[in-house]
Amino acid sequence: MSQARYWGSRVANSLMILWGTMSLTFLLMHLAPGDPSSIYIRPEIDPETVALIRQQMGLDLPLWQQYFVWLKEMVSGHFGFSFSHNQPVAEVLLEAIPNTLLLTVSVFVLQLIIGMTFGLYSALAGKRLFAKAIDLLLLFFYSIPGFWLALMAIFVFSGLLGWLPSSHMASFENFDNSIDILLDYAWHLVLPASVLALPFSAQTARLIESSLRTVLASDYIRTATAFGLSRRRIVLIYAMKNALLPLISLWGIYFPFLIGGSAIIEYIFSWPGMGQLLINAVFAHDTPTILGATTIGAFAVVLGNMLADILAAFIDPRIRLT
Amino acid sequence: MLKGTLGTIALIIVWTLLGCGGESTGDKTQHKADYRSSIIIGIPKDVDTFNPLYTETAFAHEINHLMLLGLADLDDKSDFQPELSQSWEFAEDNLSLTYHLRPDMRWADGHPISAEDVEFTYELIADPVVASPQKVAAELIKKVEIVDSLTVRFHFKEPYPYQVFDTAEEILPKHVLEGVARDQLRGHAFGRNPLASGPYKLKQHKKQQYIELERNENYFGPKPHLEKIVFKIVPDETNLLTQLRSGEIDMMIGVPPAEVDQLKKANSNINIYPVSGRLYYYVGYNESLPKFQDPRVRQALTMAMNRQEMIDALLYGFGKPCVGHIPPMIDWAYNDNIKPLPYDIEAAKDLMARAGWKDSDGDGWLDKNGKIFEFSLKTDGANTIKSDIVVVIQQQLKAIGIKVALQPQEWTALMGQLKAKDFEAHLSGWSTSLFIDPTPVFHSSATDLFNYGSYANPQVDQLIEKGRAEMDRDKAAATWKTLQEIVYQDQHYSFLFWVDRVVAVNSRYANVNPVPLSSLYELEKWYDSASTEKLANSTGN
Repeated sequence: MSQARYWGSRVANSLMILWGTMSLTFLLMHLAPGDPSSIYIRPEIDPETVALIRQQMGLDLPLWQQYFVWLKEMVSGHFGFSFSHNQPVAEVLLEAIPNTLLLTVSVFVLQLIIGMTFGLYSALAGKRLFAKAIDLLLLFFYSIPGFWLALMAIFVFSGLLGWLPSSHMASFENFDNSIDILLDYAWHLVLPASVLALPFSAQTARLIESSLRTVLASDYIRTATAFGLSRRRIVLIYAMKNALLPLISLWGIYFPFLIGGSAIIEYIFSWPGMGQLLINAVFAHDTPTILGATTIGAFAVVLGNMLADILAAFIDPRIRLT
Repeated sequence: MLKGTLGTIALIIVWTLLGCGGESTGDKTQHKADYRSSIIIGIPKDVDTFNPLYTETAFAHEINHLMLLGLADLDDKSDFQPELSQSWEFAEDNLSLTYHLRPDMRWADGHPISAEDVEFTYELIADPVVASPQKVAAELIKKVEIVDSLTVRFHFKEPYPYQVFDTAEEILPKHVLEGVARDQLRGHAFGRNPLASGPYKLKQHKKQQYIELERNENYFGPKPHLEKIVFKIVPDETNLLTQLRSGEIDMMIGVPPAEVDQLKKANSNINIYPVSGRLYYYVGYNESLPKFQDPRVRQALTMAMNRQEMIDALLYGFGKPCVGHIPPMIDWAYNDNIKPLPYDIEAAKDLMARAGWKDSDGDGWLDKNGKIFEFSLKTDGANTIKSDIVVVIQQQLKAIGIKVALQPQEWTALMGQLKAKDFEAHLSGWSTSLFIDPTPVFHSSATDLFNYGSYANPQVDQLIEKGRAEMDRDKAAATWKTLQEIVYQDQHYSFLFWVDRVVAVNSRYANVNPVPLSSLYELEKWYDSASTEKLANSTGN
């Protein structure tokens, strides 16, 4: 199969998956009890007004018509109108996505640094006590629930010590220069990013360690050693390149999280991202926002898998995308 | 530029005049307003919109009311006080109501506030295309007449007691919203950046983060003492409490009762204000089922529920027994002669026996004609307090031999089931409104609305109809008091308790006075007693 045909069918497949997910979610949302007009169920609002509001929401149409109206909205990029934000859903999503990206990309970089460092150290140091201790510590962070870690971190570092802010992306004071603004953001990032990065770095460290061990035992490494290449060069360049492959698949799975965010952690730290948006939308029965956020999530899954395949082929020429 | 300067001069003149107005606290007031001061209020949820036509959450309404005012507003005694108006008078026939606006009022952009804004606002409220949830306020208004730029007259379809209520909606600026297509109003930028008429205006709103209000320098009333009001949005309750303790926030509304003691211990600088609320919980019975038709049975059920124990155990004492639909805060209509049925297991058993329900086979459950008395109790399973109450009720009713099966439901599903009469009994809460009209809840014609249990008592219907049409407050009060007595005798509901709202404020702030009506009541008068930094642009003493 040629490259062009491969990509053609891959994109077509992805679009089908997207459409399928979106339609299924749409159907499920409409099968569930309650709709965006539920918040108007109270004695002070007369039934005629509720009927008017439902009409504005388009809820008076038969389901198949609602589906096509919604599909048109999605394709045109408006994503419908959110009645809990009183704004088009696209605007609401565009406000939340950058905030989530700021958090998740920081988490990604942070976990990569921590995970690689300790993974590498464990693989090379072997059974030393310190390596074992680190292993244990990372396992601890991996095993405990994120929300608990978050609450403990807030309790200790904000409540008791008062070192770090316990919520929000930035202070509400306006700073005069951009360095102060950046520092303020970084300051607010420390707690949520660490809480998310620590368990994840344990995964990365483990993966790096085991895959590096396998690679280091292989023939070509022995050959390289025999050739008299330095240990550092062998490990960091020749071995690392192959040891990274399993990590890349992991990144593919991680990609949706980059855009979708972590609902619980965002909620606890009042981080105004996609995760919190989705939670609020569910509580408000805000169907258009739920559908918009789900679509973005599905899109991220499809895109993440595709990117992981490309990246793997780029690093390892043995893998061919056909 | 010139306009701005003139505005400032005008403001200083108005301010000086007000300051010299002979108020004894005048000097002190001015002094407080000259200091750098703010308050940070932690709230769990962002506002949906700043446009009062579409605001849905009760608290968003309170925030909005700091920026946008109506012609009149309720005070803490449930009386109306002038806001954008100076005075009003009713016509002899009660078919019209004339407001006289204050002459010195301007929007935050300097544009004068006039009768045209009032007429325009009510045109919007009444417009079906606008589809405002407040539309019902315009239902009985026939016409809004502009008499002159400062006089506006409402004409009504019929005389009724809530005419001031209906005409007290927040007034919107015509010059801003005039050109907006009516079906686009909901999403219009005004909802994110409103033009203020009240003491504060919006400085910035960072979604899901902060709402920052600053003084509206064009406000006609006395300058508020606090320079800035910041609402910090923190959805997680534990985090909110941590921030209150550490002083990151100065105020929290709705402190969980279980946390109050801890909070007092952890930080002695926090004042706790329990405020009686407008929310009550009740058990509603489906009276179309034979087992609930005997009023003695319903009375017995109430008497077997230890309501004080629920208040003590679940609300840590922050609640009051409830005997009816009218909240104690509306004191002119609240009947304080009704004593709650006592918690009395023996009397309850006796009542059940008289209704024919006895434990004839000794298995511990009451029965009649071979069938035991059992029923299912539905509630909103996601609501913590409701889930707790039903468990307590199940235990307490077991003591008199009544078997209760708990059926927690998803809230919207529950709403559907109640409406379809697909229930035996349910535990729910009503957040009562400020005007009294129990029609949708207790009138026999409202079985397709909120009279879920098909309660039908002709005397109740008659009293509701009489009360809601009565123009004279004293006469209306008598009617409502009689109604409460009859509804309590009937025990269509087992009324449980009213829930207090617990407000916590840092003791630095003086003049704090949360009332049932609003936790932010008279926020303009609050001041920070610890503030010492003087404002650079203060108007001086």
